[in-house]
Amino acid sequence: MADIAGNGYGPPPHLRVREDITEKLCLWTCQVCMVVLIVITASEVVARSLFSFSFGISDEIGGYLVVVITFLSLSVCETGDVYHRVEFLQERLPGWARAVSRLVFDALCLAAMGLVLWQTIRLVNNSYDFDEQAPTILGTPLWIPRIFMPIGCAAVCWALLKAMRRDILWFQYERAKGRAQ
Amino acid sequence: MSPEFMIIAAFVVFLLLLGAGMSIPFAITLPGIFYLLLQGGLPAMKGLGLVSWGSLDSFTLTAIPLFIFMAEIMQGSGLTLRIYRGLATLVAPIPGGLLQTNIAGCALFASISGSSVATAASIGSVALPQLLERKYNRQMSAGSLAAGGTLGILFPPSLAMIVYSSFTEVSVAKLFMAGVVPGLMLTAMFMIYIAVRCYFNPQLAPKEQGARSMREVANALLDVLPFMFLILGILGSIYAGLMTPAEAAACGCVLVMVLCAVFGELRLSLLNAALQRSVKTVGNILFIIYAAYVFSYAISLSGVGESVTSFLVGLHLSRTGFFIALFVLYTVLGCLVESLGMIVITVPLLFPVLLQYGFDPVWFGVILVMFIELGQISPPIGINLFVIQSIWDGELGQVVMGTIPFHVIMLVLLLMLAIWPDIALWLPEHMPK
Repeated sequence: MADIAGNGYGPPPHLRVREDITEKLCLWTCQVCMVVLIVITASEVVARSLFSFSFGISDEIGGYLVVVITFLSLSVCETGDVYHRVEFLQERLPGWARAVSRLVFDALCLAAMGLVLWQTIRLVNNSYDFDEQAPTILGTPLWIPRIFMPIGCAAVCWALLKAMRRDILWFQYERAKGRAQ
Repeated sequence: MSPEFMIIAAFVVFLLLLGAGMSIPFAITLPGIFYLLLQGGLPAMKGLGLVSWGSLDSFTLTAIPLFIFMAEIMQGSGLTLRIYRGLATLVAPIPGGLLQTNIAGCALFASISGSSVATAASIGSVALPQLLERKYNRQMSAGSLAAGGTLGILFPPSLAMIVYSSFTEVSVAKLFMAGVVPGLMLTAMFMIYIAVRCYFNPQLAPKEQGARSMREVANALLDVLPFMFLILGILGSIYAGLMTPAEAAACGCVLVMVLCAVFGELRLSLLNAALQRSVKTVGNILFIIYAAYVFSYAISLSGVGESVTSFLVGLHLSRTGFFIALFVLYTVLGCLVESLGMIVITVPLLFPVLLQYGFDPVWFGVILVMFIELGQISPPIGINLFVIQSIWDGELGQVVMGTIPFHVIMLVLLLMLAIWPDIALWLPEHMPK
């Protein structure tokens, strides 16, 4: 049967990708976003219930924060190997084949995220060039929240590159282990 | 190559990547991008930036991180143990003893967490050591926890319902309310089943004494009631239209912190750890949603969604026939695709067809959640099976066997919901305008 939740068939512990400053910054920013989300949303409820007053910004800021959390958490989740995967086939493969399959997967993911990075940079550029603003009280220049999308994509691309390096080391480790046996 | 053929190719790529072991969000993103490239090459990518923005810039989705954080604080602070202890005293005298506590505990925790995995893991980690120590039947112990955990996505605040709402624009508040009665019914059906089995076969569960004095009852109530009030406050405010689900979640986070300070422990390190775990869980879920939007964008760009709708409508199936087809589809998918993946891949394609057949979108949301619940305890990838197996030292086969009777009970409720949709729709229809 397949393991969906774990990474039991992943690389040996000493080859796991470690968090560097990129992931730490992303994680820290996401944590701050979560706290801000709670404060803004709860404040809106208090202001509305007690003073019949609405700040009128929680919807807008909440949406931006979701975007920031989604994109900045990409590299955190990738490095932490927390994405669920079906290991139905993986558990039946020898170690070197698992390393090769991970390398192929990571390369494909890098290509896909590279395309998303390119397109999100284009979007931010256009928002800046055309001075796009949110049609809200705040009138937020949209390039500001949107810039977190390419930042998050660049961070996950970096995390994937590190993962690919790890996959190669993993493959070499499995080959060496095989020869030793 | 026709768009219809290309969409089949994209689905095959998705299933191959998923089966081969690629992480689920990427296994959805890649076929979406592959499909876009097949259709129009690099120029077809131009809308990707705007899709990325438009899909996630949504206030509805803010409820997801907030509810997850609320559950993480509860889990990290030891309050789950307190709830379980209180329930054990109150519920244990019923035949089945702590097995009944498992179900009641799961139902209670489900009303806070919105997630099956969080529910099964939280209650399972507290309950299993005690169940094994007191020599409860292993199969039934594991089965009751894996199945009880699935209540997490039926009771509000169901994360699955929030995701369904983000794709269909159906009111989250109505979906939440539609889950209440079926959730209570399923809890009752699970408890009745356990009571009947343990009554006729007392070896399955030792007899528990329950409270020995009024003082013990009072202490147990003190353990449970604050959380009951919290749940009723959250649900009541949503039902009465006083708060949106996201607002109720934010207030819930604040109140859970207060409860932690009063009844458990509230340290900065605990909050920090809960935030870190939440970011990882939220990141996983939001990426799946994002990936599905990319996939849906590819489908809508080709117009294949309309082709699928007209093809299915052209089959001239009766409503019952169509429901049976859905039943078969989701039963098979439940064994192959992870829960949220099931929603995000199928709903954008099937939702227009459902409307054509006159199915109520709120009712279908509940039905879909029931199918997902079944999938979560169906081998080979039922996630709750693995959650419970990771906590105890038994075999996965025992967990699977233990869930089979609960499977049957869920199918009975599904049938009842199909015959009497009002079970789900009565409460949302009576919500204040």
